[in-house]
Amino acid sequence: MTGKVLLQVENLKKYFPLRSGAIFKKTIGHVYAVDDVSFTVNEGETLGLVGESGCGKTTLGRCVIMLMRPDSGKIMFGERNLMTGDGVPLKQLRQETQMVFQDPYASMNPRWTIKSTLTEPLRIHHIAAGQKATDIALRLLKRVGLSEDHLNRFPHEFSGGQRQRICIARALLVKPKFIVLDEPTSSTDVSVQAQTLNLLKELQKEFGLTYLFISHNLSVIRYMSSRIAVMYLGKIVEIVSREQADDIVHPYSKALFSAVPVPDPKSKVRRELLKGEVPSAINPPAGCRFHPRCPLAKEGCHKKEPLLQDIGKGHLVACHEQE
Amino acid sequence: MKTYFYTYAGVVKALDGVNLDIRRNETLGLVGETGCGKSVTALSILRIVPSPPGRIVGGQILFEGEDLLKKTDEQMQKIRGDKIAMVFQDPMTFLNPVMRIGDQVAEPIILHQDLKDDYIQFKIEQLKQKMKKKRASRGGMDSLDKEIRKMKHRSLKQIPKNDLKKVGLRRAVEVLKLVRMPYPEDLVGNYPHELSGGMRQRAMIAMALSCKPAIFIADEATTALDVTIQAQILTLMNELKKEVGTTNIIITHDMGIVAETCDRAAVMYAGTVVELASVGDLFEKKLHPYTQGLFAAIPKLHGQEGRLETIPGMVPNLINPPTGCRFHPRCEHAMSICSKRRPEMIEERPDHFVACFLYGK
Repeated sequence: MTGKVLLQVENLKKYFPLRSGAIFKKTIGHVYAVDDVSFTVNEGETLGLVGESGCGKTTLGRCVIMLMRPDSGKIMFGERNLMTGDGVPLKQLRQETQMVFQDPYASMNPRWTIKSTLTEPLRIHHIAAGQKATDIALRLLKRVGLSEDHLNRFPHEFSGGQRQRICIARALLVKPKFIVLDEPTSSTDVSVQAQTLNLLKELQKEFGLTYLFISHNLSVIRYMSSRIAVMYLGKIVEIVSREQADDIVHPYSKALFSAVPVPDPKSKVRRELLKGEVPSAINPPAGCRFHPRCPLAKEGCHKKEPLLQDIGKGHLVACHEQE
Repeated sequence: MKTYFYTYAGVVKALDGVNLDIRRNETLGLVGETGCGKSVTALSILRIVPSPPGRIVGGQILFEGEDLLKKTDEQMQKIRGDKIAMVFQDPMTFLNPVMRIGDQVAEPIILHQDLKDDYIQFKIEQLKQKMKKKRASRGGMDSLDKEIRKMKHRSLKQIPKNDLKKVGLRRAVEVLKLVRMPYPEDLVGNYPHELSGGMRQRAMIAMALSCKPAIFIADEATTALDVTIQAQILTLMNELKKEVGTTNIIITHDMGIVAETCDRAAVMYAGTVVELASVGDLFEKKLHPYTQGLFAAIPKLHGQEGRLETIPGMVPNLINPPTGCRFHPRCEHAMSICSKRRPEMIEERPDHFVACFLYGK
C-alpha cells in the first residue's frame, strides 16, 4: 500500500425517478438510492462496503466506475474527474477499472465458450488477438486454478465457484488498477467461498490491485477489508479501519455487528435487536435516516442530518450522539 | 433412510442411509453445505419429496412409535401442519400470492382444529351484540339468555362455512400476535407481496405453529432475510420453542445459527450423516475431518489473520458417489479402507457419534 489515494468520491448522488401515468409519464417521486456519499479508497487497499438489502451499496459500486451515471457529485480516479471525463475516453476507464458481479452465471454469455469470453476483453482493448490472446487467457485461467480443457467449455458446465473464478480471471485480463467486487461469494458455499477469498487476496498482492468489496456478510467483509464503510438507506454512517472495527460507535453498525450469529455456543450473545423494519428509500425519514429505529435517538435527530466526522485516527461517524 | 431421485442423467442417491434420532423438546440442527441432503431429509420426513422424480426407497420414519412411511395419504394429510409443520426458505415463494395472509394462517387451523368451542363463543358474542343494539327489555334479556344456554348444550355437527372462516381468522390473529407481528388485526387483510420479508417469514412461522405441532422444522428459514431481521426471527424462534413446547429441527448451513439455536447438531455430507453430537461437544471436539474442514473455512467476525483453510476438491456427484466413505477423495487422513467400506456411526465419546475409520478400534 502506497498511502496514495486512488479513488475519491465526493457528494455522490444517484436517484431513480418513479414515473406513473400511462401516456404522459409524470415523475411522482424518487428512490434516493445513493444520497450524498463521500469516501476515499487508497491504492492497494480493500474498502469493504457493508449494508443490508436496499441500502444502495450495489448502486454505489456501479456509480464509482461509471457503469451508471451519477446524478451529481465528484469522482476523482487518480488525477481525473470521472464525471467530466477530463478528455479521456470512457473506454480507457473500462480497462483501468473492472467489476466482478454477484451472479457469475448471469454475467457470462451462455452461448460463448470460456475462450471467447476471456479473449473478448483483450480484443476490445486492442491488447492482443488470436493465439496471443488465447495464451494470455490460458495463463490467467491457470492462475485461478482451472485448466486448458476448460477453455472450450460453456458456462453451464461449471460449478458456481468455478464460474466465479472465471469472472475473476476475466477481470484481470486487462490489467486493471481497481476492481469492484459485488457480493462475489454470496451465492457459494462456505468452503468454496474460502477458496475464492484466498484467491482474491493472493491476486491483490501479486497484481497490486485495489478493491471495493461489497457484501452484506460481515464476517467476509471483516476478513477481506482494510477499511469498512457501513451503509444505511443511501448514506454512509460509519467508516472504520479493520483494527477499529471492535470500537464501532454508530448504533446501526453496532446492531449490524451484533446481529451476526456467532459460531460459538459458549459466547453469551448480547443482542442489540433493532425494532421495526427497514424504511423505504422513496420516503426516507427526516433528519437522521436511522432515528426511528435508533435506541439512542434524542431531540434533534429528526430535525438535522448528521455529517460524517472524524472522531480520531480516521474513524468517521455520522451521528449526533458523537458530536 | 434412503431417498433417491430418478433423473434422465441417472439415479441421484440424495439420501443414502441417514440415521437420526430426535429427542422430545430439543432443537436439532441439520447442518451441511448445498447438496448434502438436509432439505431432502426434512421433505422425506413429511413425505413431500416431489415424486416423480424422487422416491423414498428404504428405511423407516418412526414418529410417536409409528412408521410414517406406512401411512396412507389421508393419514399423512392429518399429520402435516398439525403434528409436524415446516417453514421454508423463501417466504415469497411458499406463500400463496393470491390469498390474504389471514386466510392462509387460518387454513391449517380450520383444517385440523376442533373449532366448536370457538364457534360457540363467537355466536354468544354475536347474540350479546344483538342484545345491546335492541336495548332489550327484561323479558327480551331472559329469552336471549335462554338462547345462549341452548347454544352451549347444542351438539354442532357442521359449522356454517362463513362463520368457520370468521372463527378461523380470530384464531389466526391470536397466532400472529404470538409471533409478534405488528398490527395483526389490520394485516390479516393484506396479501403477501404487501408485507416485508421479515413479516412474511413471521406469517409462515405463525402458520406452522398454529396447531401447536409436536415437531417444527425450519429449512433455511432465515437465509433470505437481512441479518438484523434474521436476528429478530432467531430470537423469536427460541422464545416460541419455550412458549409452545415444540421439538425443533433447524436446517442451515450457518454454524452461527446452530450455535445460537440448537441443542444437538448433525453434520451431513453427500447424503449421509457424518457426525452427531451436542452443540457444545461438536464445536469443541470436531471429530470428523469434514466437520473440521467446515469450521476452518468460516471467516471469523472477530480477529482473523492469514488464509482461510479450504477443503480441497469439490462436493461429489451423487449419481456416481465415491465408493466407501463419501468424503475420502477430499480427506487428508484417508486410508485404504476408506474407499472400500462405508464407515458406521459409532459412539466415540458419550453421546457423540461419528462415522469415520479414524475412530473406533
